[in-house]
Amino acid sequence: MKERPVCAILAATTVILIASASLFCLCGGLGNQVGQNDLAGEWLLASGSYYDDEGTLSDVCNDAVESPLGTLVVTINDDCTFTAETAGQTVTGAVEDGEIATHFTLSERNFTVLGRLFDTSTLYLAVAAAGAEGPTAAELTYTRDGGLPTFRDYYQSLTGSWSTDTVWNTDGITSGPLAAVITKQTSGIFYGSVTTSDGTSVLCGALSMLECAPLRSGLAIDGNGNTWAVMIKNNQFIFADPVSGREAELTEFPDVTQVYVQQDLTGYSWSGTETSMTVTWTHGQSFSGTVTIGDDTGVLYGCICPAAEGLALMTVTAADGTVAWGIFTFGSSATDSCYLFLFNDNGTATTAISLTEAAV
Amino acid sequence: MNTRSICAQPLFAVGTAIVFLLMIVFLLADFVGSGLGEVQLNYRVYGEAMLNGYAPYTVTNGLSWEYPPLAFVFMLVPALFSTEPSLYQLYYCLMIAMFAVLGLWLIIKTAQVLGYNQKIAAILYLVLTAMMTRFVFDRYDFFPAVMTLAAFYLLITDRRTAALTVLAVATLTKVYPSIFILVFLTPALAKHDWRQAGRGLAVYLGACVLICLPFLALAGGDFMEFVTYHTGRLIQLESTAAGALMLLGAGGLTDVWTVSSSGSFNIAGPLADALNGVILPITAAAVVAVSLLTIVQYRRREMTAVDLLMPMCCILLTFIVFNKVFSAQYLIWIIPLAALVLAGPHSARPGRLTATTALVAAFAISACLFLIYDGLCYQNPLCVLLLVFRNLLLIGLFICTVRSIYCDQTQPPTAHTFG
Repeated sequence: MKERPVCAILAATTVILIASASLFCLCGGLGNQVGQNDLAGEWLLASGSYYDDEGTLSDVCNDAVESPLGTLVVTINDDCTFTAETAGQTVTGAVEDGEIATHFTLSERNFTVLGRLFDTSTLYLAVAAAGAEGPTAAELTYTRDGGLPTFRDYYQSLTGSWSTDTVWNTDGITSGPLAAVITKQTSGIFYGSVTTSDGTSVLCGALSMLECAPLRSGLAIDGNGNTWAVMIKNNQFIFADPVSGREAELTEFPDVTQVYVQQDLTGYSWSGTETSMTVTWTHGQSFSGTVTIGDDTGVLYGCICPAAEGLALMTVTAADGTVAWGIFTFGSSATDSCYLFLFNDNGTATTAISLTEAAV
Repeated sequence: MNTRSICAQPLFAVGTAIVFLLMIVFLLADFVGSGLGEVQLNYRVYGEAMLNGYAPYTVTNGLSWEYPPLAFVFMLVPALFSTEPSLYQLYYCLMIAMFAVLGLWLIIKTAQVLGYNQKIAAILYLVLTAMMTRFVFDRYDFFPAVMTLAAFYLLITDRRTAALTVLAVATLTKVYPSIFILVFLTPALAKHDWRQAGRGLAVYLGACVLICLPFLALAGGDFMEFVTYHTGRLIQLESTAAGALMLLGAGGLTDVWTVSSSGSFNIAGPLADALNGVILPITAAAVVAVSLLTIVQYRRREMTAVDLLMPMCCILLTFIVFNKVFSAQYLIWIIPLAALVLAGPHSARPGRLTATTALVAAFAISACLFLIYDGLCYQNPLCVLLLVFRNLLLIGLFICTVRSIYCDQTQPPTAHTFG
């Protein structure tokens, strides 16, 4: 076979394939960046499962009235708000940069929802619920057509014993210990127990997906009704109690020395209209402080993921005792900028606030 | 020709200028794009940790100590000058550029020893490096690639002990050079000179042990993290197996989906999970088989050390196309060896132009896939097709190298060609 025609065919095929794939991707918007314009419409439950307080694993189905949420139909509206209807009750909230958080009460059970739109066709929700029946936690995956997504999350194993001798509060004062034993895990939901100074109780948790692979965040609820914000990093399982402000970094290997190479954020503050945040202490890659929104002041806790943008989960405890959940992200250099995404507990108002850094 | 005369060559001077120009283009593009890569996000963190007194494998900082021990030396050096992200990036790029120039010098010297066309070898080296600029300056794969070339140069200039020592250093920088150990011992093994082969193996293993000892003493069992981390990985999205499985998935023949784990995008599913359990032994068996066949052929065809270049290319392609991970930067490993093979004394022979076209096409597709990686993650059929085509090109090259070495019994491989 002559070489030149073969080379020409190879080169032409390469050029055509590269051009076709590039054009399709560039024009088709196949990226995983979540835009706000093409999310509107009803989202269908693709899969869902939960652990109850006895560690029984069950599926959440569209027609399963016994599931913790009953039938939860999620709709994202044109104005970037979302509506979730369940058992005749409508829960509303907003989508900001792909993040969703809300809190509602249904059939005398308190629900906390933390979610993420992974892309324009995949929505992950982590749900924790507390009530007389005991704690339960669910993970729900929604897609536009109800089919399983091509791009799915991958969760590291959490089963085993996690512990720490140090539990921080918002003033940086330590107490402890705190330990968790995870006995069961199915993808993003887990079941086990947590031991605090109040004793040992059941723990159910769920994670929602994040784009940065080494970091996951979600919710866990214990038998005493405490809802914990949780984060998973490579070697750390971070627990934070929004009400008391307790924060603990659990590890499977307590003897392993942690090396902290991240910037000390102590003293940093951010400010915006009627909103300010101040970091009061930094411990390793975790930090805590206060956030003030209007007349309400609450605790802030978070961690910096070395391989991705910093991220914090935060809560603001309102005057009436209710808790607002929020997610706060900032630039890769940790101090360039700060965006606060706030989700009110009654689901009626949410906001995304760009904050600027103040001098240390 | 001595070192001085090579350095005075216009070819070397122009090549050096091109390398530094590529570095400047990369830094400018990185600055304009403000996209942080591996160097700033990961390597700098390791460098800073070591600067703060933490030895590799002894502590945890949210990142895994996933690299072989000597890789961390290259991450530490820029940190000695600055840990500020932009400056660290600059010093790291300077280090890469210096290695790239060293590689160019070695390419010219090796081509000279082999009697190959130095100009073609240098041009191919520079063209392929330029095509992979994004990865050359934002990964550390160029270090072991140049070290492997240096080891080969020492081997063909009959400095076996030094060659095996450098190969050991390369192995402990990035594990892949270890696949060449049997090839390096081939001259002795083919002659059944067990004493020389044993001595060579002892030099290689001894150097490895000596380098590992301090790290082992400091970290104990955690030292093996750089091995366990990779054996636990899933099938990576760009691998040959992943391309085939995604193609099957697109045809509705299997369920396959993308997941993010171990710092890369991988595939999962019933067939992918089953294959993941056996793919590493298959890769190892393929590499050993090609190495053993090299030894047999070497003896049968009265080859010399210089004839080991094609087997090295073949083994490297075996390792890449059978592996469960095929990150784009793996193509960097091919650059020095391919530049030399394609500059052989048989440039007019059939197959050479086709092989060069296929290699350049594979590099171009890899560079393109990086830009449309989202589409690949979402298993867009066109992106999958592009990936499969890239992998088929490399499989084709792999088959050509096998044929080139093993099928023709009548001619020595140096007078033989691809195809």
